[in-house]
Amino acid sequence: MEQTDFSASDSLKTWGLLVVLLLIGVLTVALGLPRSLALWVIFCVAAAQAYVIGRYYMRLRSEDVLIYTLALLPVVTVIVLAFVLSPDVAMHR
Amino acid sequence: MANSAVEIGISHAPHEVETSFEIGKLGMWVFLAGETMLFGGLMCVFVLEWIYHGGWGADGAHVNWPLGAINTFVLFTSSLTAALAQGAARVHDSARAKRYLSAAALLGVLFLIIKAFEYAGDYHEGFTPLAALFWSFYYLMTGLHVLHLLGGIVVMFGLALMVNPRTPASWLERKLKYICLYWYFVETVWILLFALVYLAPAAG
Repeated sequence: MEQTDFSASDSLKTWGLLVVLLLIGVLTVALGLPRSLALWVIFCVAAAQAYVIGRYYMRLRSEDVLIYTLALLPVVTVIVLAFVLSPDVAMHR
Repeated sequence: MANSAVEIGISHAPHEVETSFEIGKLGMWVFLAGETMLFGGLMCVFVLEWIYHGGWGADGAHVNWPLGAINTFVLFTSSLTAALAQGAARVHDSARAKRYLSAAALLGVLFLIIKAFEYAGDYHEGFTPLAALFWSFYYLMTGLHVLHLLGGIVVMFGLALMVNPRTPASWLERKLKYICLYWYFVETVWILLFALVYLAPAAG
């Protein structure tokens, strides 16, 4: 059952959280953190932002299993694609 | 059954529906699944090239990440106004929903204007799509995203034009749900592109 009580204040909180995460990612590059640490922070921040949008804006927190399947199936397929393509890209040049 | 919406479900009694969903929403999610494969495939090859061929070097360092960060902020704000439009439609305030929807579309236009300046700057400095593999990926992935954003803007402006005081609240709420779902997806794709194509190469 879809949840419909997502208020204006919830939307503002979600926006605030996304902006804070954006600032963390940007500061990581601006401050010149070590490369491996910077990459770790950048991708964790991006994953957190995608999670926040999916959960609160796209309402995945209140969707049924069919929608979850539709959302996750292509992600799993792309991960499989990465493993399948990996040797080809490695020997490409 | 709602006006122009088809609902399917498994019912145990005529008055009791255990599970039901809108065909329109299901169709949108199927469409987004296809789009995920499109962008996911491109990002996948971009990352594999990066891993197996020692990074993007000097090309990646030239990307204009401050403009990318400003555009990310613009898209976040656009999604906020889209969410507020949905909230207004839920309380049957079509005039306010129309204003918020128009604001979301206008912020999308602002994103495109900033992006045009960014493309012009890159092109002027010699970073054309054929300059290096990184720039080919950059223009392909961000250009594809721009096309998706453009489509969303056209639909949002079109919907805003159709809204008037006599617009049925349930119709507006449903249409907003679909276009906002698409808009949030486009925002999510941008977040991943910003991390992959802007921040990560700039970090080294």
